[in-house]
Amino acid sequence: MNQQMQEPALSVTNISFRVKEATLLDGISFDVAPGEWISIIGPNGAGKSTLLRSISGASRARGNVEVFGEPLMNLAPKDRAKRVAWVPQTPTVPVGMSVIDYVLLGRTPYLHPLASPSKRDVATTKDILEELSLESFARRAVETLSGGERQRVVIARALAQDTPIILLDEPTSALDLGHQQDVLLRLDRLRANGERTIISTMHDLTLAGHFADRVLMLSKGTVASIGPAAEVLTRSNIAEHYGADVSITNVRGTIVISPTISTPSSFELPEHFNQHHTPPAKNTNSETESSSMSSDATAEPVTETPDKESHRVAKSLVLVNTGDGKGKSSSAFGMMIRGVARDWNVAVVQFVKSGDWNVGEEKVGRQLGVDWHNEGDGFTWSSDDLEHDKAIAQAGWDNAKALIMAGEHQLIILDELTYLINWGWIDAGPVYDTITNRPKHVSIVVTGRDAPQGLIDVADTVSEVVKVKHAFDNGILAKRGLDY
Amino acid sequence: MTNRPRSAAVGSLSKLLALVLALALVAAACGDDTTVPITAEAQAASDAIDAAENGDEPEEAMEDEAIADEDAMEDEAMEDEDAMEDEEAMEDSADVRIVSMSPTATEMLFAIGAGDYVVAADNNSNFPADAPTNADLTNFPVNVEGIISFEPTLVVTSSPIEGLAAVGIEELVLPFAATFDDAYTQIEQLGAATGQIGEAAELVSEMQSNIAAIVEGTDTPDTALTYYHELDDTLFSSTSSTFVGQVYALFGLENVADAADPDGESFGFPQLNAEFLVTADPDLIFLADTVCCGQTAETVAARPGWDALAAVTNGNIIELNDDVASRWGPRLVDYVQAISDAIATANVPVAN
Amino acid sequence: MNARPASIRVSWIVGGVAFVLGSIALALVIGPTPIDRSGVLIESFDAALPGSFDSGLTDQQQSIVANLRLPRVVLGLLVGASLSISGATFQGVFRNPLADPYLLGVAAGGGLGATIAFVYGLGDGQGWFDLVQVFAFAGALSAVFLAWVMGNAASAGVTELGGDRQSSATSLILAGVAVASFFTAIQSFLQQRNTEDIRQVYTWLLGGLTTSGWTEVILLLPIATICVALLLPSGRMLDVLAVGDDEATMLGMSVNRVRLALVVIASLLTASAVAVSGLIAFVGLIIPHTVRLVFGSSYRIIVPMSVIVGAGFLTLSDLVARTALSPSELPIGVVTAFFGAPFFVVILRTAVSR
Repeated sequence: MNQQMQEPALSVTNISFRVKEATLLDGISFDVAPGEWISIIGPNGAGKSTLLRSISGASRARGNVEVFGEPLMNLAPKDRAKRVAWVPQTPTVPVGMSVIDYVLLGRTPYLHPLASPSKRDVATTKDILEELSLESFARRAVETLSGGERQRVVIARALAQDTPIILLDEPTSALDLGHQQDVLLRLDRLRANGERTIISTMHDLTLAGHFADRVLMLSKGTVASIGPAAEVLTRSNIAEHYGADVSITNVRGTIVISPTISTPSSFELPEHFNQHHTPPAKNTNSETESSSMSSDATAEPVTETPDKESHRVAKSLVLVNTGDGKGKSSSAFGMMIRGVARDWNVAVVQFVKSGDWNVGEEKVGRQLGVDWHNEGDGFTWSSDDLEHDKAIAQAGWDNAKALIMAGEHQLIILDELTYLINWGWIDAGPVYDTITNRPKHVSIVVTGRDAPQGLIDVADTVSEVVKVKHAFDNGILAKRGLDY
Repeated sequence: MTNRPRSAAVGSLSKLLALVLALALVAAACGDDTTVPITAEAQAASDAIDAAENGDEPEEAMEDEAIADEDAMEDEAMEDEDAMEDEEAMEDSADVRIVSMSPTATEMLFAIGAGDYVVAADNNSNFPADAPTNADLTNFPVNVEGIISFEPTLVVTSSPIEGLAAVGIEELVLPFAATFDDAYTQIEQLGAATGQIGEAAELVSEMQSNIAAIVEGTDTPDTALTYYHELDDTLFSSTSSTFVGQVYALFGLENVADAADPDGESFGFPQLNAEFLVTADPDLIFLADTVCCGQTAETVAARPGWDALAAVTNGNIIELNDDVASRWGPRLVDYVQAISDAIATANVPVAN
Repeated sequence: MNARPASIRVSWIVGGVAFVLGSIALALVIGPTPIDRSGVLIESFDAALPGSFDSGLTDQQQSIVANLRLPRVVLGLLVGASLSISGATFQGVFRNPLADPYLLGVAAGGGLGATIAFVYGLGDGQGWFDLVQVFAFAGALSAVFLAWVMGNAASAGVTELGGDRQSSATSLILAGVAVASFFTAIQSFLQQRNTEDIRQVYTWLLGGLTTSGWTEVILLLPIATICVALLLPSGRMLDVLAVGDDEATMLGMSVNRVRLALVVIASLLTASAVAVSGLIAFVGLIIPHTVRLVFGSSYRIIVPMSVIVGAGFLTLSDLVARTALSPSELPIGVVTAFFGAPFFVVILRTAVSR
């Protein structure tokens, strides 16, 4: 994918934008091929949105923007809107406006100011609603939609403009993981026939690299780097322009960027604890690593890790035991025993299991002086009492949080915490924040299936227990003494 | 919500509004604001005390003037000059400096020969011509320091002016007159305050006898004539309960506006409905808005739907001077005369 | 998919017209003077088509209907429709639910113009029409003009600094506030220097149709017809403006040009209504909101429905104004505010609880 293009769909030449003394953009030039998707990335204040606004004409920048060879700057708004559609980061949503009316606004450039929308305009609008699976929302007021649905509606409005170029300002910043994926996949499909060209600013470097054909890294108002993701998203580039220390992994051709969490290296943990420990590490597992090794997508080094010299001792660690196999909690209770052996104050918070189930470990734990909390009592597990379960879960987490922040324990095991997050009973963000901001000497072990990415991000060590075989699958019930 | 509380509220709201408009009306008519009346008795008492304190030797020019005692004030028995001679002497006329903040009071002061004492008069004191009217002396808002700068010994006003007492300046409050007697009493009060007691008494009796003579000499028809007194071209009017209403009452005229303010909610100044006026079809129309609003018999006749009014077809529209028809000073006699003339020349068909 | 874009329904128009006709009929037959009801209606048709009907009323009654009630009703319709559609337009143009037709200083300008006319004795009613009306009209328009010039100067500075277009609407509103304060200051000064005219000024400021006749109707009718005809199809543009200047521009709208056109037309209309009826409060604010809550939030609905509802509402308000304390007049502004505000709260509550 090189600059050997036919006529570019969009050609940006020497765009500059100044506000008083400050230069926000300085001589930006690049071309975009028809059907291409280019992602503009860059640290805060790099000028991403300004660049997008300048291309759209919303900001009056100096320089030249051409769509299929036609200068955009001198066109009347009406003619510009037939060539470039803009999906703002935070669209203004008129109160009470229905989805169909909102999408119909996209037909503005084709209507006389005093004219009403024609039947054809309405038909076009309906087609687009169907294309984006929005037909069931058509009558709803836009402001009542969820973030993901709303973003689709705004994109639908841009599509209604029927333009060769679509500009999107942070199309996924307000969305959760699932909706991010949904929106980006849809955009990807929209340009599939080569009739639409997409330029988007993106916050998430991994997503930016994955979906776009090329990535444009903007820094201090200039193009720092432009090209395929693997060429732009390098450790040194990110370190230089974002000031961030990251790990970069190539997973089946997708560049995955994750922050390296480092903590200051003063220390109190027992000697042997360190010796057995790897430094704070990235979250990729070896499986994806090896498969990317065999991938021929790129010649780039697969993983860049911090220098060996940087091995250091942490005051405390966050460990996550996840996966679908047996042994996540059992392993955690093993750590409980290690902690007790070091005269630590250890606490266990059980979020889902309760009552008779855990007599084994709870009994021994209490005998060993472990601070044991059962927060799973009272779950109804019935779909009609979701609020009740949510409230219990929230209360349980609040207790656990208080326990962590109190700083009275050296080790706290949060057993089965992932379910609360995955089922949406508690907000994930505060959990991660609490773990990140815990007192420096408190180590935390979290167990549970399907550890969410955010949890993995804040953890130092993540283990996945893989099920190869389980007795239960063959009809054998849980065995006292082994299973509980 | 039922209708009852609503209409009650409309009533009180309109009352409030009427108050505002009424106040504005008074302001428009005389540049005055009317609120707290001060009784003649109290005023006279304070004047007497004042005069006693300031008193010195009588001046030659003032030998027939002296301070009235309280009884004299009340009884209007002012012509007893001997009694007055005995009283303590009047203050030195050269020391009397009056600021008049009331156009009516200004007229009265000049009419009783105390015009020379008036060092300044408010912006609306447009009569007589030699009144020292000062455009900067306004009642809305009142500038106390502006008044003080004229170094008055006495300020005549229609409503109390806060702050004058604090600097020791005498204040004579002569509010909007409600009756003829109010008007006469105010003239006498001014006479007492300026040492022009005799002239004041003379003016009062002259006004009284003139008015009596005019009324006496007016041949009023057997059937009471109806009239409409117009305050402005948006049909604000005054009822019989107002001062001007009493002027018309001298001749037994019937006020059509009375129906519009039966319980005084509009303080005697209702805004009439045009349709109502056309239907009421008054015999006489008195225009007290010839100056403010440029109204004439012609403009009234040109109003939509008014051409068929009896007063219009019969030529019974009387153009009054706004000020004459709203002040209760010496020109009251002119006002009464105008009404008398109107009645005398009124062309009222007998069939009516 | 059977979802349809927002549009006015025939049933609403039929209902609205019925409401207006009902208001007209009520306003015609009720008055301080009891007149035979069918006679009034026949006489009204006769006034429209002279000599074609015999109402059987006396000359005086005929005159009352033809010269007093009818023009007042017609003027009420015109003023109500004008203020309401202007209010809807201003709310759309400025994306401000608190906007009313007086937003850019029309009221203050009109007030100053009228005060000047009163103070300098120009409001003498001589000639074919009143100079007070001319001055009020001129004052109202000059206030808007001044606000526009100031607002644009201010927002030009902001845009040069890289600020977004959004600010130009805000600058304009602020300029309107500044101009209004300035004009009000001059007006108060003039009024204070000429207290003999104070009541006329107050009466004018309160607004009303008290002494209106066909002259006022003839003055307002052509301007109102043209302006309303121009504003009626502007609902779609207001819908586009609702997404903000930036997005509207990107959707292909020449925002500043459209805003200028709409503000000029709405101001012209408001100034004309103000010139003949003074400052009638609340109508321009409440009617568009009421329409929004009852019929829908698209300006394609709000604009035309405001005309209908506003016309009927003001006609009924004036009916109350001249009959509630009959034969005394109640200022119409008192009626519109007194009945309009609680009515609006009721509508707001039902809309919220829906």
